[in-house]
Parts: sequence; structure tokens; C-alpha cells
Amino acid sequence: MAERRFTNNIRTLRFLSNEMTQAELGERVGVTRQTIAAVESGKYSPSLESAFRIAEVFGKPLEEVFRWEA
Amino acid sequence: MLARERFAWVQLTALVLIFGVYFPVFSMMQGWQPGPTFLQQIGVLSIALGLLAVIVLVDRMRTWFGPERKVKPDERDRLIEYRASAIGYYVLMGGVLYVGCYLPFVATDKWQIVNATLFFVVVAEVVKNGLVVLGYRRGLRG
Repeated sequence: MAERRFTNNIRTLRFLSNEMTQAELGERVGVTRQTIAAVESGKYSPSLESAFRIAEVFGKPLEEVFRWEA
Repeated sequence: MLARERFAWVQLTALVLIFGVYFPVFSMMQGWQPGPTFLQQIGVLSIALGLLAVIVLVDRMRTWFGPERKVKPDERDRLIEYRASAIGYYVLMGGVLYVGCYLPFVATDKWQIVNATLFFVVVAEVVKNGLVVLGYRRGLRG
């Protein structure tokens, strides 16, 4: 099976949420700013629970925040 | 940089520098005529372990009493720590088998066993801290 990259729209969604900072998002999700930075840059895949929490913060369904790269 | 990543860097650097000097110095002492006394050997070991303890303690205190004390480890920190510890554990187990099951039958000197034990503890810690640093720098997937 070909390896597909997991990607996300967190940077865009933060921008659209009044330029929410990584620290602010991290605080609302319950992780550190560095973890949000790692998720955004694709260096870390969050747990299902954190992924749902991130989507909840932006008020979006999970598939609008995280997706497989085309 | 998170306190946990900085701590891994500090420990990694301290271990490599201190024991990078300790093992060659100890080995060089074995060539002395007459050989080194017990006090000289235990003195070198104490200096190495004491230095390591001071460096680790100073860095820990910086975390305990600084603003970083409020930052709790999150899922990524725990995953990085878990993966690094699991691999470090296997390295240590290999060392334990070598030191405990093989070396007692072939060692010509008690210090050989002491230093082999120390060597494997250092290697296991270097591997663990190296993997922690790598986990923070290069990331974790899957």
C-alpha cells in the first residue's frame, strides 16, 4: 500500500479564527504550544481525542481539519 | 524549547563529555606502574558521577523553581518519552546480560565489571536521551 501523508488545515483555521495563536489553541485543546506547532507542520499526528478537540475548537467536522494529502 | 527537550540535551551532552573523558582516563590509569590504588580509582569514578549529578540537579532545579514547572507533559511528550525509554530499556537489558551472565566468568578484575556496568548504563541513557531529542526535532508519526 502506497504511503499517504496526513495533513491538516490548522494554520488556515487559526487565521480565520481571529489569528488564534498556537499557545491559545494548545491551551484550549490541553496540549503545549510546541505540540500544536508539531501537528501543524506534520511532524506529529495527534491522538484521536486531541484531533476531535482541535476540530471542536474551530467548530468544524474532523474531516475539514484533518485529511489525507491528495 | 521545552524543558523536557532541554533536559534531554543537557543529559546527553553531560554523559558524552563526562564519560568520554572518564573511560579513557580510567583505562590510562591501568597502565601505571605500580597500578592505581583503590582510592584513586574510586576517586575518578566519584568525580565523574558527582559532576553528572550536579549538572542534572542544576538543570532539574531550573525546571522545579522556574516558570516551566507549570507545564505538564502532554500526549506528545509522553509518547516521545515512552518510545525512547522502550529502546533504551533493550540496550540496558543487553548490557545486563553481558555484565551479569558473561563477564563474571571472564573478568580478570572487579573494576572491569564495574566499568562495563557503567558503560552500558551510559550507553542506554545516551540512546534514550538521543531518541528524545530526535523525537522533538524530527517528529513522530504513527
